[in-house]
Amino acid sequence: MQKKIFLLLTGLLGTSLHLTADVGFAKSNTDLLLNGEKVGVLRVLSPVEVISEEGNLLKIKVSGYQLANYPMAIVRDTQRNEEYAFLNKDKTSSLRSLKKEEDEYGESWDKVEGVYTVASQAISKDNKSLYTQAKDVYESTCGGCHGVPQAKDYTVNQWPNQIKTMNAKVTLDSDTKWLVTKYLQQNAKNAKSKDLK
Amino acid sequence: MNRRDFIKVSSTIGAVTAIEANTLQSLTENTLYDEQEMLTSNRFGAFYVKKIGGEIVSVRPFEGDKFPSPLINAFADNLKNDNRVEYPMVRKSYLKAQGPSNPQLRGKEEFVRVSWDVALDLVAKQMKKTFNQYGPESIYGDCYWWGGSGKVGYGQTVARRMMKILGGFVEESGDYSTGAGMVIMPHVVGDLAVYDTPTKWKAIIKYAKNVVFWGTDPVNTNQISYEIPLHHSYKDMELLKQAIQEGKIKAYSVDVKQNDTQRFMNSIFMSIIPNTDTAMMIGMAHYLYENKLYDEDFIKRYTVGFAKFKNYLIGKDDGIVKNIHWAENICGINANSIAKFADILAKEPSIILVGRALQRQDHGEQSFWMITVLSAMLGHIGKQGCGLEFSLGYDASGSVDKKAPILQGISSVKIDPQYTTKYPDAPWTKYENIVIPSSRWVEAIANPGKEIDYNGTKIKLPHIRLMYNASGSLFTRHHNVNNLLKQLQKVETVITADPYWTSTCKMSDIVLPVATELERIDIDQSCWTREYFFGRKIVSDPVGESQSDFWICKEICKRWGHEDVFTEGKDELEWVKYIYADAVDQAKVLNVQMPSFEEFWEKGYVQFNEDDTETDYYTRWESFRQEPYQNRLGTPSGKIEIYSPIIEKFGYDDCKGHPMWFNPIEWLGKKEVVKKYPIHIVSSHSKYRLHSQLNNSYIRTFAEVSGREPLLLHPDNAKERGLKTGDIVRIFNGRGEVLAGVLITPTVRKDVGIISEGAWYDPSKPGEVSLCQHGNINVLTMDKGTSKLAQSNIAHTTLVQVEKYKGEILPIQAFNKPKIIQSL
Repeated sequence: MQKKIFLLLTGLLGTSLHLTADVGFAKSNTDLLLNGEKVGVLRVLSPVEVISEEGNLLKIKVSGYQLANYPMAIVRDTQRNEEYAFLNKDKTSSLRSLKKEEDEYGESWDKVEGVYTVASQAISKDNKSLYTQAKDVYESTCGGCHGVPQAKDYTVNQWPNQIKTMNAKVTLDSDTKWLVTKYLQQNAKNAKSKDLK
Repeated sequence: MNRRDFIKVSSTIGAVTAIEANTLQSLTENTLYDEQEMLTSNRFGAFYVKKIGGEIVSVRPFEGDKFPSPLINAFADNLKNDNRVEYPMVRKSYLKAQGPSNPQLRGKEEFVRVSWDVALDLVAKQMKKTFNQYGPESIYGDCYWWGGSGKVGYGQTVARRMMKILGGFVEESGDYSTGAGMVIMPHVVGDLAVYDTPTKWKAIIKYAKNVVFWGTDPVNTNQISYEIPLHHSYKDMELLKQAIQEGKIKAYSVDVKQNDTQRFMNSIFMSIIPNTDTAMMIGMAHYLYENKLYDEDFIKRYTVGFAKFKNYLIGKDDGIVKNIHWAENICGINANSIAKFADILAKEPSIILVGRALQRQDHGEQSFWMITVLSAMLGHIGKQGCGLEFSLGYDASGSVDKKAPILQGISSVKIDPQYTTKYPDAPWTKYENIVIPSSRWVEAIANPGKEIDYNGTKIKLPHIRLMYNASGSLFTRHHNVNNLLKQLQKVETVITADPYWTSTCKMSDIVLPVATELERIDIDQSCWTREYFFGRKIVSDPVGESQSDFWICKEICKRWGHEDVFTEGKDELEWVKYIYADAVDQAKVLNVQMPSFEEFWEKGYVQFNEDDTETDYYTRWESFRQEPYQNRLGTPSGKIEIYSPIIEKFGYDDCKGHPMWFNPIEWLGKKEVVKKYPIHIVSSHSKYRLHSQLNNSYIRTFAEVSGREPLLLHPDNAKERGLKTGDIVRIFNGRGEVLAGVLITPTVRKDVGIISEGAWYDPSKPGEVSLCQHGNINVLTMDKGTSKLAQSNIAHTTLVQVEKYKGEILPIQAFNKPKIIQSL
């Protein structure tokens, strides 16, 4: 069952906590709060489940995978290193482990989720305008020197270092660099394939 | 109104045919008392041109150029020499038919001088017609890299922008320089590696004890750059030499000849049989493994797949132990020398600087993969100033960085959204470019629709019917020229925009005269260091009726009703101002002062003085070594992939799960071919040109022998053939024949010939398979992909025979104009 349908059904069933449940996307790199305290950063374009609205804040759930050797980063899955969120070193216990997995290289991972609050205006219902913005920056910034590889030319894992190493030749601030990187990752060669094997 | 203003106004209002032929101000307006010096720049440097009577008579390097290249002297010569395309031209049959006609007459038939209107109408009509009928796969528009430069009017960028507006075209992924590297390295280290920000020379000089130049010659290649080179790295290389002389660093050169860098650094020279570098590296790896000299901890923490590779080394599956003796038999370097070399590199802090040449050969992926594996075993990757580096072969790469904004250019791909709203059914909204591997376009022309393997996918080769070339030189860039000649006849229309009558122009249907950087307005930045912005004013009136690529592409778009989409309402100077304003905004964020545009334009440059000390000792993969999980590589494992399950699963027979030795399709170990063609030709870069550029200037005489490209040949090989320096020889194989002038030298390995790529093609029978009088090496090279993985070119995999030429010696025609008539 697709997550969205599941959430919709949960909402229809009337569980009060999930009345507003839906998928949203971070509009920018955004502070993740727990009991009003900053515990990490939600990366731009990362998908979240919106659980409830509390004044100017939203309660959201972040789901992903956490590498035992580097627990601060929550990434899409064991094979796709798209960073959804980054937690302060002493706040990684705010995540709940759902199951443990070992990848084909022997690294240990936890499938995790965590519930946090973020500013309401930080979450967008769709990612289209962010994609347009990212594509515009990517094409105008990178198209001046060379032909622009399509997002699907590289994998989810390859894109961050491609952008990082080219960044010496262009000036992108950190937030814009994240926006472009995440856009490229979410449209990368293996972004949509269900079976990576 | 003076002439300069007239041209400016004509250009601004878009007048097409009103521009008079260049009037030679020196004859009609100026006298010898009119003396002027103006600043200009291009891909060879920044320099002042001295004009007397309105004509450029000499050049003087810009004071900020750390090591000016002698190449800049070419521009007092070739800017106005006989080789310029002065007027729009259409091949006679094509003009008569107002479209494709008699392609077999290309190279033989006269060109007819036409007005810009006639030429541009024909170009716009044929491009539109072809696209409408057959779509993006019919338009080849890669427009190769090196012709022209600038943030506004760089031919490649504006031509691609024009063809994007048309609706799309065929482009190539990667490039001829390092196409195999660009495909293999993302599998091995997770990014391109070959164009990354490189390790600083400063870090190397401070921390490395051994510096290995493996198939690379930066003293030669760092003269030029894709922006403006100011040659800072030459100062770094002087410091490296000083450290070598003081005994602090030892330098090594693994190559087939003693190149300029080897001679300058006095490096220990290891003379290797061409195309066998991978075998030598494997032999070194085996030695390190057997003698427990490899860095086991590095392998464990930072790599995956060593166990499978180790089995290959020890011959577990094939029974062949790849030890130093096995390597010696292949690469020709004494086993003890291989062992000693591996030993030294393992025990002392070392860096290997890798040249592109290693992968421009059959199975070129293997050498880049294997040198990474070898470096991982040596264990220096990520230690300050040590490890492995692929990107120190350009201008100031690896030199100091300045705190400065970065100039953005006009985009080759981005269409401003307002025009998509204005033209909702526009072709650029409906199609995507067709992307084929670098150097596979001739195969596409030969076999449209054929499926080829590429990096785990199947690519259907497009049916190319029209080519638009913005500069670029097909006949010196591409391999197996005689096959190209044959295949090109299948292309209905060839359009070339170029300042010079290159062989590509002569084989075209429509030729558009292009103004060089010295004849048009633009802005550019000094490469790598970001130390300067330079404004480019018109320092010499455009020759004949030549126009900038920007203007030409604008005029084509205008005929499609999309001029506004191309220009976004700005002329060239307004684009320069727009780009400068963007840099001013960046500078504010960086807290860097910049002058007003007017001050900048008047002075001609702006300098950024402050060093970015944070990057002084930048070393590739240092952060990965320090925090391998935080700084995971872009590979599936996040580590260096000695074994790649992804590549293994592709199931290719010519590129498998880990690096290995494959016999090249031609090499000195292939005895049955060597009997007939016993010399291995390697086509390195000439230090007297940029690929083929500047061969049409007096600079070529610095390195010609008997009016031909020189062939460097070992004395033993010369003696066998009764040759002496200055003889004209015929070099040939099954693919073709060229003439060259022999230069006998012991600096080249026996059985190896060096003939630099880029000598202009000069067929004795233009348009036909015939003897090249001038020594274009690509008449002899093979047009084959490196493997199913990258499908890049194998320029350095070529066997030939050499003999004294006994036929008639014809005058060189390569730099002459073709036959031109004034009207039909």
